[in-house]
Amino acid sequence: MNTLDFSIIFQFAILLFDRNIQCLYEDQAGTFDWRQQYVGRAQFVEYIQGGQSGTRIIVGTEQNVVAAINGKNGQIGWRQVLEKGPSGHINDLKVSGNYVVTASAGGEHIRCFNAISGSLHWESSIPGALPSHPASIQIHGSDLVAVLSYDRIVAYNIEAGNELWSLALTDSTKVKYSYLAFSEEVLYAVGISDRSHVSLNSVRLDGTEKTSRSVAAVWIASDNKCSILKGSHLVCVDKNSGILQILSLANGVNFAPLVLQDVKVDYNKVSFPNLQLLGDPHSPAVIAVEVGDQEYVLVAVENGKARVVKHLPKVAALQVMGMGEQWLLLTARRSDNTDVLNVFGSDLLTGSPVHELSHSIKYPIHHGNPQRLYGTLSKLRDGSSGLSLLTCGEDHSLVLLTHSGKALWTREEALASILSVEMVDLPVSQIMAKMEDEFGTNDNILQMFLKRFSTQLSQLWTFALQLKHRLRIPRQHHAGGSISETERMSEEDSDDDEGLDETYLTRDEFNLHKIIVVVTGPGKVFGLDSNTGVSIWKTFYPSLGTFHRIDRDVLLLFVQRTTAHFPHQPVCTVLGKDKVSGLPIMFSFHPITGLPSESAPSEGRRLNYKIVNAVMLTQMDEHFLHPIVVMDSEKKFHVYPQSDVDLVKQFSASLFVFTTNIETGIITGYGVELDKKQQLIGNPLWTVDTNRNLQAITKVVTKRALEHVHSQGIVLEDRSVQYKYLNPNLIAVLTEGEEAQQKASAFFSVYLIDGVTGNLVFHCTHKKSKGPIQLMHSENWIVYNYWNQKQRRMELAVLELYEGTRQSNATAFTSFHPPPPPIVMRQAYIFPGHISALATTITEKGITSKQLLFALETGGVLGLPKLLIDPRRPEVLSQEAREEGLVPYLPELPRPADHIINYHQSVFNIHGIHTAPAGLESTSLVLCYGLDLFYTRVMPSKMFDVLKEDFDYFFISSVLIGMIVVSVITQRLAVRKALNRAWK
Amino acid sequence: MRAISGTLLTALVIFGLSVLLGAETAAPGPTESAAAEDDGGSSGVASQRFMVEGKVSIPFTADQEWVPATRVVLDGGQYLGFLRSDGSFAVSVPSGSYAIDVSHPFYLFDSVRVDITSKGKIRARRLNNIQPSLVLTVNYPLKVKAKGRASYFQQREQWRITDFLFSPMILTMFLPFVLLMILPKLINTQDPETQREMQQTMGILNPKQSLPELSEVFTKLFGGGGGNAKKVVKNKPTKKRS
Repeated sequence: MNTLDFSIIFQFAILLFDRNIQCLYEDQAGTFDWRQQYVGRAQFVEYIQGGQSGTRIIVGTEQNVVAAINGKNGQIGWRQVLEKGPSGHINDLKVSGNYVVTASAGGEHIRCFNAISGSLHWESSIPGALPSHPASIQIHGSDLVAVLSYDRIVAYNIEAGNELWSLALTDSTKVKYSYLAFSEEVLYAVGISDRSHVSLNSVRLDGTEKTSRSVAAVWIASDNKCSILKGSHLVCVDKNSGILQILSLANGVNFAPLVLQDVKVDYNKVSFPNLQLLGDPHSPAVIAVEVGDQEYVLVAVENGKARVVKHLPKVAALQVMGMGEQWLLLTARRSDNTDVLNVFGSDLLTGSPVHELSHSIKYPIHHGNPQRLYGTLSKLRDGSSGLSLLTCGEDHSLVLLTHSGKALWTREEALASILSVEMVDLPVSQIMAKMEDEFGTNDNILQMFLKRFSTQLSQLWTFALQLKHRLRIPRQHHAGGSISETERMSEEDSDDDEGLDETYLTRDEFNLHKIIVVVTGPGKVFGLDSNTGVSIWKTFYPSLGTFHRIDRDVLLLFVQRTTAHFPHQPVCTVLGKDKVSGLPIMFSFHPITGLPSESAPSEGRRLNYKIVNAVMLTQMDEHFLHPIVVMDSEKKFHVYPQSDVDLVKQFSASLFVFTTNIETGIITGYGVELDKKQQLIGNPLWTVDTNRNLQAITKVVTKRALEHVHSQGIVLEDRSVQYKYLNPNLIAVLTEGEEAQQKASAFFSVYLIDGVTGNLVFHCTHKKSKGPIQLMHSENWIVYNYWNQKQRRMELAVLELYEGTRQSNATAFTSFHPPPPPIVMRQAYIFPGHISALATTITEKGITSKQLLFALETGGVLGLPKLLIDPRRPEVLSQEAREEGLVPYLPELPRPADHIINYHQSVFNIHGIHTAPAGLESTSLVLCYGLDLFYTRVMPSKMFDVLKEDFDYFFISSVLIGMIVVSVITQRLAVRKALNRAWK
Repeated sequence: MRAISGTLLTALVIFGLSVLLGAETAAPGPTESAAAEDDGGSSGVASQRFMVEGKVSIPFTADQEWVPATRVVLDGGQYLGFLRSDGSFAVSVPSGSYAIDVSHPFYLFDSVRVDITSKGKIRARRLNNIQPSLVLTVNYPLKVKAKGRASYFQQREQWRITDFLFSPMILTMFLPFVLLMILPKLINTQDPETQREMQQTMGILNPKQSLPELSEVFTKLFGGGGGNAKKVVKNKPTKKRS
């Protein structure tokens, strides 16, 4: 009853504003938006061969996704996104028949999915499971599933999902049980006790005859890499000595050591040696030991003894597979820095090469080295066997290669872990650039005239050509909207052949077409076409690693020079750290073509100091390049490009930098000064201590440098002006903590600090509220959401800062002579849903009203006008407030379906929304990224600057013509009548 | 009915105030309320887990395509439930209180709140963010039915002749026109029978024929306007005829 009442009120409220907000028409869906779905980096890959639905590849990924990929075209058959974070982390995935069994969070969730439809078959939970302790699964035969968790083994029937038996393991606080294996009728669970022994537990399949014994192993550490080979032998690597230790599970009393002779192994290297199980349960007992970068040793194990079969010095990935009676070893290696992957097949036991499996396959360099191989054989019509090879690349990509030497499909799973996004304008066409060129030169009038005349002539000519082209092809193939990611690939292939249309990558009339430069977690950088989502170029930087800031990985992306400065080429720079040395590394590239820029070394610029902060200046040098200023741990400043040091010195008096130390909770502000050697050095000016003992800094949010604020204030009903507090140096700092006295009571604080002087402008604390908090900072307002623990609901708070009715300095804001403390207006609203990312639209001039974008956990992206999240919404709507256009206060914000900007194109685990202005003031471009990508345009105040696309030209012109005709006729009639009257 | 909604409205306003206070800085936190208000999500001690069970159904569709695409989201993704092929779900959670949303790209569902005591007693109620303490129980195990298809799109305005004709502008323009132009034509004033009828009705309206002077006075008073109007009415048809 009451919800009905509220919904009526809400509908009323929505009705009031519907006029102001742009909603989508059904036929517009997919015309300017696109979605791409990904699964993430594959950790577990299983093949399901044949059947009605063809070959399916079941993957379990680092992004907590279980999915089935169609083997023919690489499209997602079904996808289930598990819980976020550690509670959904997939520990193990096994396939049996038509069932996919996954264990996540140490056995807290055991799920069995139907491999065909993706629906859940059964679900279970092991009591006492620890998310920090990975669980493992083994499937015996076609019905028994055994799961090993922290302190027990649980067996299930795969068909019914009922628990058959459960077995508690002893001493699980000291012994880390991690390995589970079947050997015919016996199940083994192996645990490691640090520096002491190995515990072997065995149990029969019906849950009876439990035995337990331990084998002394002083060398063993809990982080040792071990594997159970074919259910009979435990193989461990002693990390310190590099000796392989083998133990027979059935009757072994001692570990048998195997020194890897003839192999020079550098055991000081970080992550080696590694163990990799090869083949399936029926293949010979052979294990691959990864002893170095692209170096393996094959070891065969029999009766508790091991011997080295083969040393493979230059192999990127390997796999064992069966062909009839034969067991084959498949190895792959990239031939030095080319696009060719050499695949060799050889007999596993004899080592004789198998020529029909040896191919040279095109494997583009931007995939890096293949990390894992999954080969399958299929009989071809002519009797020979065809190889199809699934590779997991260094760049997280999944590529299915075929014996014909081509990739059947490619999935760029790096796009599931985007870290930074920039939208770069396309360059103007060459003719337009020539026109612009005219203004810089000092030719005489005649030359200028001739130049102008020729360019305009050629402009006319290209226009005629375009018209001709358009008439021939009524609809350009680029105009399509929602293209799924694999169609994308086929299109890409065709593009490779014919080359992109020259005029396609030029700026359009309203600058709506852009290149989206995205930097991803594995170090791969993409240039995406904003119209279609197709990647125009991609570059893989194998050495590019990520910084870690607070709770997420960070790679910095700067647009140092835009395309506006012809003939200077645009430059983008990505800053990360070297994967090996951990020192910063910088790559510069052309954002439209992806090619490395000429001025910077193509292998990256390595910086030999620890980085603390990096900013790009808003000032430009004489080549229209924004210099990047990097602060190192010794407070020295470095400028890139180095030639711009003088420019920075010139501006150093007005350059201020702040750093945040998460460990100590101290924020420090620095001024930039010159030391005795005329070097730039940071001078600490202020510190703010947030008291780390009580609370931790979780977010530091500054305003966007690009943002324009069009109106300096708001006009009140009495015609006075309330001026906005527009401090460009304001930073919002969020701290979260736990209440000391009360259990399970969290709180958080928001601090607004002037980044130049350290002046605390405002501070507030929310009691009994906790994260995850998203905070957004724009113009003169701050919006954040939090979970109200007491009322158990999501709330959204807004702070707006005003100077008052007088503006202290109308021309420029200065932090050194700040206006009096701002008036802070604030309000909180109930938000119906959970927010995973929060952003606001940005437009060219800032005239258009703002829209707030909320990525919801349920898959939608909600766009609400700022008007609804206004602290001044009155409880009783007075005449004055109505005149001002305020909306009456309602505690709960609406969530109307037609404001979900991605309509039914649900996107999951969105962790960022990037907005960029278009050439049209009304339009803002939006890219939501996380596991999925969604791109669209939003018009927060409707499209006020262009005629609507459904504008009825025919109707208007027919009315106009009709009016003209009528007026002519009536005029004639009137003349005739006047004449008649005159005759009377 | 009206009284109920009236009280609700006042409750709403008071609530708005309390929200305002909630956002206030560093105000001493309200005292810890009853144990039932205890936050469910963060109880780390309670390792015992209980099953939240229910069944989702979509009456509008016959095929089962929707099942894998539907997710049951507890407290915004802290716990997730996946549907079995018959639409049923079970999520194991520690005791506490959870808001349950069912999400599907095309369909809308009502949200439910489920409270689980430390002994495992489960109660389900309508989710009410505005009055969290209000209890309107629903059946448990949950039966979640789709409310309808989500209308993500605006209807495109189509130009229809009926819309045009029945729009108030057209009505206000055409009705007087009809009255002025067509009605006088319908009543044929030249016909002697109708003339007589009119006279009779006039007679009924003016029963006192013994006071003709008064009417003459009136005609003299309003003579100008009335005469003009009559002229207009009479002129128009004549114009057309000429």
